[in-house]
Amino acid sequence: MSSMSETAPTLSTTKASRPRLSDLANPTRFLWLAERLLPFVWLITAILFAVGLWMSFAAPEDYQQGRTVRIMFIHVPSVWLAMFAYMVMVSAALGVLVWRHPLADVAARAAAPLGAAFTFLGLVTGSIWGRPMWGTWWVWDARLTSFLVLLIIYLGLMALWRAMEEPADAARPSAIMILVGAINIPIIKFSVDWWNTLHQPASVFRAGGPTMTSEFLIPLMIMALAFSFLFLALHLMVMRNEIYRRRIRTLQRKAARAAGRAKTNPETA
Amino acid sequence: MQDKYFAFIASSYSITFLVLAGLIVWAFATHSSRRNALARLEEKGFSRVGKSD
Repeated sequence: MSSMSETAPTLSTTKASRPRLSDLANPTRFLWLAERLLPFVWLITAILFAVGLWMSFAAPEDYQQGRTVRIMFIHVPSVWLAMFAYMVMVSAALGVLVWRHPLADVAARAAAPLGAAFTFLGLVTGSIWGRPMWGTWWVWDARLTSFLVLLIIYLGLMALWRAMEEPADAARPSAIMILVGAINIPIIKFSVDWWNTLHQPASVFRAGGPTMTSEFLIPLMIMALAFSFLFLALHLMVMRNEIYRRRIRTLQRKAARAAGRAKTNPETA
Repeated sequence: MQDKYFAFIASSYSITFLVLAGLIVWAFATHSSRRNALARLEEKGFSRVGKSD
């Protein structure tokens, strides 16, 4: 367990003795930092979910949507996080291609299953809301279809990573695929403006301010914050798991080489 | 009048809870199994050359 109880890694400092952001590129330092951050992130997540859920169910009925407005408090944050996770992957892909950042590929791989899960939730909760409000589970309009494409992109990237066993071989092709897939993000965002869709136009982040009242906006923003902190906690955890996976792989190779040497030359083993 | 929406709201929240709880359980279970696997390998005397990689 020697590497498990690592002491605080030393960060190199500038003349003003400030730690540099690039120092966190070191996986060991990242693990040390994640270990210390995670309890606080989980605590904040739990508090935000408790407050957000209470406010969601205490919110009044909408004059048009009735009680189904409560579905919006989980649908909208899921959709935001689905797109945010992809933007995290885009940043990580740039880190792989431009700066060859050691943790960038790890960050991209860790964000994909989380993004896929939030995309799935966005699609399912939107569909469940659509049945009583639109009278249908699904329509092939631009917003819904482009969002389904996002799920397919996530699944495609995860399949690519699984197909290529060596992480170093998969890093660059997957980074390029992530950047190509990024074209879908503005399409999702502006689909409701560019095409005539059944899906409503933007009602929170829009010129002129949100169209909803504070009774709905406050629980929505608290739930969005709760989802964001949950994403942060899970992303740190999955990144940590991916670093462990790579270390296990390195040690297993060493073990296999040692076993091979012992077989061919038992005296030197 | 609004009670007919109960099933839609309950199913939305239930599915969301299941998916998010599944993600959390998956992350913790993977962490635990990989930590143990790494510790077993290190106990056998295998260690990384550079601790910073």
